[in-house]
Amino acid sequence: MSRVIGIDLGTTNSCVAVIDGGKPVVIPNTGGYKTSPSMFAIAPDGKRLVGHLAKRQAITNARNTVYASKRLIGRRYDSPEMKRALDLFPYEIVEGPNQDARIVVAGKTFSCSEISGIILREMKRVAEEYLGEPVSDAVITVPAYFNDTQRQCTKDAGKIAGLEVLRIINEPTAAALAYGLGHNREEKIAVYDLGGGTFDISILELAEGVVEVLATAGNTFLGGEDFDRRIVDHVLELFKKTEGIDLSDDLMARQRLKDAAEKAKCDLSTLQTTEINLPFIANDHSGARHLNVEITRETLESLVGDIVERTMKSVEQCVADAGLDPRAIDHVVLVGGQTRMPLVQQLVTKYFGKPPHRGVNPDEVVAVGAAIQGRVLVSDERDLLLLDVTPLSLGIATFDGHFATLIQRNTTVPVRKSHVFTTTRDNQSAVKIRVLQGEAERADENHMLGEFVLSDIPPAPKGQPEIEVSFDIDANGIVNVSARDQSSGREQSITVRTTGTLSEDEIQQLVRENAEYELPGEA
Amino acid sequence: MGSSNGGSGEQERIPRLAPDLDPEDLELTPVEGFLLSRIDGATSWKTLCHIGGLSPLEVDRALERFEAKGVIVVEGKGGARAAKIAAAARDPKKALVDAKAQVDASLGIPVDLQQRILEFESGLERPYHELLGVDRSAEAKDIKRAYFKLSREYHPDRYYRRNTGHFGARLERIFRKVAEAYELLSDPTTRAEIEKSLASMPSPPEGEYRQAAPGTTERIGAEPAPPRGQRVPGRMENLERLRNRFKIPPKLLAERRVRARQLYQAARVSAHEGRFLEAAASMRLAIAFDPWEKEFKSGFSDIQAQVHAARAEALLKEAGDATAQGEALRLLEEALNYRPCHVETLKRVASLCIDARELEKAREYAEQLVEVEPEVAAHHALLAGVLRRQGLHAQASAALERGARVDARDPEIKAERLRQHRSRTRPGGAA
Repeated sequence: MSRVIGIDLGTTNSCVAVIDGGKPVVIPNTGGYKTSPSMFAIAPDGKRLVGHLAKRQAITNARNTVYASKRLIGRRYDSPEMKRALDLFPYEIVEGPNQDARIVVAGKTFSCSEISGIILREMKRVAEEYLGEPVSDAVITVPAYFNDTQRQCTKDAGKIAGLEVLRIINEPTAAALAYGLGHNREEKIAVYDLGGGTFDISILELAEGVVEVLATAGNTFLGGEDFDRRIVDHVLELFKKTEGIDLSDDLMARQRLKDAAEKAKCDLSTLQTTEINLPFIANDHSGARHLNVEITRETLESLVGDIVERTMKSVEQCVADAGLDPRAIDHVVLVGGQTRMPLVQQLVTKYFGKPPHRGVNPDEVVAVGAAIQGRVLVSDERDLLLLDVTPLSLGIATFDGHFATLIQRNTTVPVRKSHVFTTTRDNQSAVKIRVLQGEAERADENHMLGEFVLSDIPPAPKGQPEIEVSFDIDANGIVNVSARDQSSGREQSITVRTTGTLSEDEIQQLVRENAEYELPGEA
Repeated sequence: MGSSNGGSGEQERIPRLAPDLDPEDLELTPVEGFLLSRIDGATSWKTLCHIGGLSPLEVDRALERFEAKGVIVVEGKGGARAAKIAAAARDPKKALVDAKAQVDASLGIPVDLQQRILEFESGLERPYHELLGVDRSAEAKDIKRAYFKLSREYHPDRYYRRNTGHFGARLERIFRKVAEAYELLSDPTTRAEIEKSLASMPSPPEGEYRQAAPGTTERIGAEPAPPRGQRVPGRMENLERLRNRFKIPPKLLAERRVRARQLYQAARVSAHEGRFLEAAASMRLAIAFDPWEKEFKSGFSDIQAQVHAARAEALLKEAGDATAQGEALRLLEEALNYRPCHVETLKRVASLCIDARELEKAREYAEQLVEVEPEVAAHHALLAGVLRRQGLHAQASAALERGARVDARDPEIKAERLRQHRSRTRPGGAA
């Protein structure tokens, strides 16, 4: 049986794991790191760089380095998130043919799925090198709030990377699986995930190997990188005050300072004091200048305290949305490297009234959970079952432009629901069934998945024919919609596949194209 | 659809009424009575699926129930088996199914599990409590535990990537029903409804047909025809609405309202300055924060209308520039999605459809046109023209007459009258 890898395709960092000899193993890349930056760049000499290599030149080659593209995947170019990204990101974002966002790197235009595909291909390569055998099957994680298009785009990315994506699962669910929670009695679990670029909080309910998402909240523009930025700004200001030199426009100095700030932040999770030491950071008439700043844990906490407070606001909202009291939560799970910070752990402990679970490596648990689900799917182990739900409601458009929901969001699949509709004109011979997905009341504000016409309805006064419309979603999430005229027995149906922003042809083209790129490994 | 029946072999079989059957003893809905009345010993299972007045899936289920209860025997299976099933049904404790014929050792499911699946599936129409194997007085957590236990056994994922043969569809059917049972029993409101209906229904003597619990799709076929353009407010839907009621603490609610109001103000500023997409986004957020405020919704509709008008305008312009007819038609149809009742667009789309010989579509659009502006004679003439091209002469002349009643001197009406006359007098000249 071929092995299934689990990939945590993160906004800032990605991680791959596999079950080896019955135990989950997080696979280190060639450089020995267990996570790789979700970054892609094209160097001035035209070479493609992924992961740590891309990160190391991110500031000096800012226009041709793509990071955090996960924030753009599956989103429309005119969406508010995109607007924010346009202001924030140094790389060029243009509108694609399907109102999606495309990213221009060194003159070539990439879709977001393609960028994610490049990162996934790198994770696949890392796994193959470690296992010494080809890998083709993967389970990939996404945030719980991702809609079908975003999930489909992630699947497409897997395809582009040459992977068969067995399932897309939610990140908090994967984290809970990794901690082995919920095997026995019924438990409510809060997953606090503070990653590099995003913050998510989810409340899950687990019992006897079955997982349900009760509520989810968060902030897609808040994460560990904000912490780094605060440190960088603080040091820049200090340096300006003491040395009279403003380094904020010096890209090379900033790159060094950002790397050092991140390291100092990590050090302060275990130490009380650390220093940032950057020799030869600048030059002026009096010669070379060195930067040497001491930072204490208290300083860091005063710099970023408000950010951590903000995450706690989301936590409160999410717990309230789940209709629970914080004390009713049985376990709190920390995910993401930033949760190593003692201040985060203190505030979480205080709010929930119990210490959180934290494995040694909170940035690896999601990949481990994905690997576990992959293993469960293809092996004979049966102690676990993930109940998948539809992330958004499904229904059809009515004549007056409203959205009639047939399957509510968060309904467990497989599911089948049907409803009877009728005609609106005398002797109407055909009805058009428009299949939609979304939560808006008006039909046209929702996402259209497909349409078909049921014709040859026998002449009858309006309101008399009974047309039964049925929605059927199977365990793989494939939606089948049929309409049947009760009197004539005529039936029409379509199979709807949620599409990403790429067509099948485009994906195949990209699969071929990207297979040709031999990406350089980690140094 | 209808894929989840027992496979093509079953479809060709011919059901007939059991010889000792007295229909008076049964408790049936009118639709089921109708279905029973269609069983004449000559009509096949497959044909019944199409004339039964129910969806094929439901006919399947109903026939399977009839068969299990000994109401009918199915030819090709042998009377002995039917008798055995009928006997088993009279003693539900021993409700074993003679499933040997359907068990297939070559599949990726152990044979004993295959048997369990078939057995469980044969009892899918039991009341929800029985299906989950819990008492009527069971606590919520027991219901959930039972659901999880059954899920782990019957969820299709358990056999992911294995050759499940016809069991794949069976597992899906089982899981859907189990999930439905859990969904309805875990909500106090729907559970009360179910218990009420169970209590009001005297427990029928064993061996007789029993109506499935309410709230299933079973009864939808018997619902009265819904009013114009409206959804049937079915029982199921009422239950769902109750279940989806929001439960948010008052303090949080107040905060959300304030937030929603701020977003609403921001949206109005954006709209005022012509940035409609931004306005729509803020308005959508406002609604998300406070879905009860009607003002937001109407504000949103206004803004959305402006966004749509702009989009439709852009599409119309693009269509005007398009040289290929197919492309223009596609753009115009898209524009109609944004402005469904726009008369000029409807007219152009209808005539482009006529040119492209897509008469079914042309008719749909012409009918919409008449619906939107019944007082314009030319629209009636257009519809009449489409019907004439379809060869539906009687309907074409009726449409023309309706137009003539609006305005007999309208030039389009006159022209169409002439064309109708010609096509009648010249056989084959329908074009």
